[in-house]
Amino acid sequence: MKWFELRRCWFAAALVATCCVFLGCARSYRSEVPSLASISLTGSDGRTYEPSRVVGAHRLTVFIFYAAGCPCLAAHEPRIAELQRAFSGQDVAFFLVNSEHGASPSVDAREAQRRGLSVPLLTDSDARLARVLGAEFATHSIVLDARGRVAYSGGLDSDKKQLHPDATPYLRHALEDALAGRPQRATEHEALGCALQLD
Amino acid sequence: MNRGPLGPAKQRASRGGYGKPTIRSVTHRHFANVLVTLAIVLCAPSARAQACCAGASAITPGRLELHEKALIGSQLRVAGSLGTFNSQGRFRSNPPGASEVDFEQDLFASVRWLRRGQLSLLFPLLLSRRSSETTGTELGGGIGDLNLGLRYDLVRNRELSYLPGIGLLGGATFPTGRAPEDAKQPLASDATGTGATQLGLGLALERSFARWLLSATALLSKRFSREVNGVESELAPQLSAVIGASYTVSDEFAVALFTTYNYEADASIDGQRVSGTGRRQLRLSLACSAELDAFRLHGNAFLDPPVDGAGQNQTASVGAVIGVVWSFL
Repeated sequence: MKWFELRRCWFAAALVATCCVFLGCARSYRSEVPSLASISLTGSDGRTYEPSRVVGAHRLTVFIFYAAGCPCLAAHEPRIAELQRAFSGQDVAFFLVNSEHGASPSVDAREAQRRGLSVPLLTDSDARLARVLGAEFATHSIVLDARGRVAYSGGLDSDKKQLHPDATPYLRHALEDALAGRPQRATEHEALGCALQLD
Repeated sequence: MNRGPLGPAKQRASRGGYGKPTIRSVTHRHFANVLVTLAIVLCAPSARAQACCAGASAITPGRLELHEKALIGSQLRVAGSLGTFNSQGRFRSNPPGASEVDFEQDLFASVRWLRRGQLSLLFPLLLSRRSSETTGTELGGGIGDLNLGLRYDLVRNRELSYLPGIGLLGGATFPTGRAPEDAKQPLASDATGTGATQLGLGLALERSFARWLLSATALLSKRFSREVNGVESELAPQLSAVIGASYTVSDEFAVALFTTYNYEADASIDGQRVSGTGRRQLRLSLACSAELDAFRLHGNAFLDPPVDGAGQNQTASVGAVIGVVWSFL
């Protein structure tokens, strides 16, 4: 083996690795202060929702990111409905958000009806809400308080597409903690759903 | 004196009645290792409509799926020789009394680095049974060449509507196996490595369409020269390409069809190219993968088409692989 050849290869490998690190860091960046102003979304119920107003009107608002073909999201639909029931009457608003490329209100309305979704499905056609909130994966759940502060951002629970009775209910914990006015057990967890196609 | 591209010892190993397959089998095994390493690092994590990765797992069982932090796995490969391709690419069936059956047990592990990277390690154990009319039957084996693979997903599959998933690949193979010239058995069944250090760089593309996932990968490996009995020997750079399509039958089960092509130009001795020593191989594989929570089972059947032109200086084999992977979120 020739030393200079080995050194040249390692140099090339190091260069590629460095580029990857920078690209990875650049892609993982997201805004820490969500600005919802001027975002307007159409709901599957035909109404128009302005997240900044919705958030201000409720004690807590939950946005759960949706992807039509994602089995992880589909598996979690009963749990989303269950959470909505559990926190009904506590001024907590739940929304599913479709930020995927090509999302359309009419298709989402049909899909919401077909799936029997109990939570309004909002169409985020230009993915502005997803970008502002830093959502990359389906089932990513974000809890905002009435002042627009992020109380929790991350997975709905510790399950992926196969549900387990002993899963850790991250979103439920976040809502319980926020409503009780105590510190969050965790403000972030990894969301385990499918990658969202935002562009 | 024509010493051949691989040194006198390796030539000596090839002079037995059924010697040529012996040499070729070493490369064949190495090629299999490269293939498995590729399988570990290749495909990017999944996206929405492909049912969360099941399709890619059928082609690349050792890869980390989306959100997985680490995995360990093992697979067993069994292959039987149908014959050999000569330096002109003509296929010849095994001569009477000659046979070769190869077993390979791979242990592998992958771990995530950063958010989009994977680091994989493959540790092969090899066993060969070979026989010829002149030398009889022999059994040999041992540790193969250790493979280290890296993958970095610049773009995840379906992350962007206008680009396929793009992954950068890197790999290194270390000569931990027994080089052909160090083999003791007449048919060199105990040769388990190429004897050369390799470094590779590659690119992986993939795109899903509803339940279909199409993927293409290419890896170019530089093999460093080495000294064999005082003679400088160097294998030409090797190109490995995999093109495949998988179909996700359900969230937990997928089938795939993929083809692998391996090519290297003529080797060189003391800086001189030796014509007729290049290698190529075409392999067709039919695979399936099933997810059982944290475990994935996979299997495939493969065939190197025994037709003229489908290979060069290689054995043609038929075989199967079965394996299990345990992943951690």
